[in-house]
Amino acid sequence: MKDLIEYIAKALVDHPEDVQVNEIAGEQTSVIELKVAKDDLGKVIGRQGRTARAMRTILSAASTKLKKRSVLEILE
Amino acid sequence: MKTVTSESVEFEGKTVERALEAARRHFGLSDDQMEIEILTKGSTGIFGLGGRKARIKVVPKAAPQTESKVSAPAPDKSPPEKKLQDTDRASASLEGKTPEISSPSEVTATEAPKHAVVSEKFANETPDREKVLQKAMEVAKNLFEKTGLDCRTEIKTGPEGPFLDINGPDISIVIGREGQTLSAFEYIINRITAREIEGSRGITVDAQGYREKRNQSLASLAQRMAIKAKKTGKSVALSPMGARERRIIHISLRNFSGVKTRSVGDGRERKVIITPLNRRYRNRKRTPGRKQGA
Repeated sequence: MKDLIEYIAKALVDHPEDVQVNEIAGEQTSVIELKVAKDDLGKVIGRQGRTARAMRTILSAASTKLKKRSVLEILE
Repeated sequence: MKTVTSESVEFEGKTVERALEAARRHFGLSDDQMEIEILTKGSTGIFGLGGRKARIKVVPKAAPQTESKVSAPAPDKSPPEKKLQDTDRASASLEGKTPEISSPSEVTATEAPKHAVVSEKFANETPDREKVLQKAMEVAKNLFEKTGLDCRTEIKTGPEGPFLDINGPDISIVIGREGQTLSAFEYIINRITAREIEGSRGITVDAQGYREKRNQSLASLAQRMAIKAKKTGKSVALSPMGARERRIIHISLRNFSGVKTRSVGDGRERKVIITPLNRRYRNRKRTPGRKQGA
């Protein structure tokens, strides 16, 4: 899951070296924290949060396969 | 077939405005630097298929104008739909390699006036469509590998041009509820591709004909609800949908007499309302929609 978000985020931002992804695994739900450079924040959120929503949708699709839940948090 | 060094170039697009846009991009000129003649205004057929395209003829003002319509017959007179299939795919790649050929300085008077039909779909595209497809495919493959979903991606060609088709055991997860996941994949794939290849246009991502089926079921839903609206004399509100799906509804009811459609609501809550056109409701105040159509 972490790799997935990392791949998407790195492909979308101007400063891929500043992308940091942490996975906090829980019993059922794991939280994925995404941190990007300040001026790249808009790129991972997108207009009206569209990119962020798409990433969350894909993340939950991938989690469904593993019968788990994942939550994406974008950190400022 | 397509000679770009010509005085007058024909452009086509869904609307006159779209065609104009293509012309502007093609020549790198603004509206008042070009002589524009509208050939046909175009109309959209059902499901966006079978519609006529808007066609305009453009002559850059720098070049001396010749009435090329009379003096030089268009080299290709087959209907635009068909042309899109054979001519333009080849010319799209040509365009990617030599974008500067069409700059106004090269449009010289010595050239015999020739017609070139440039489809809006491909004229917009400086990058090679094949390249964009390959890139999108690569992105899709990486993405699916990382999601751990078991599916394959391949390039297919449909009536509206090439698209990515996804197939495999995990197809239902890829599509998601009402195609939401598929749309998310499509969006992300296109975003990433657009970053790598500048100016690439969106590539449709379909899964085992899901979109086509969905369009058909939307159209039949629209018909059923329109009949209901007419019979009961009451407006029927459909469930909230995305722009693409609302468009299908509007288009499929465009020629359905006795009802009209409009979209109301904002953002994710935006939905289509089918209103019967009978006396009972004629004086009713309408809820203002954001805009007409999709």
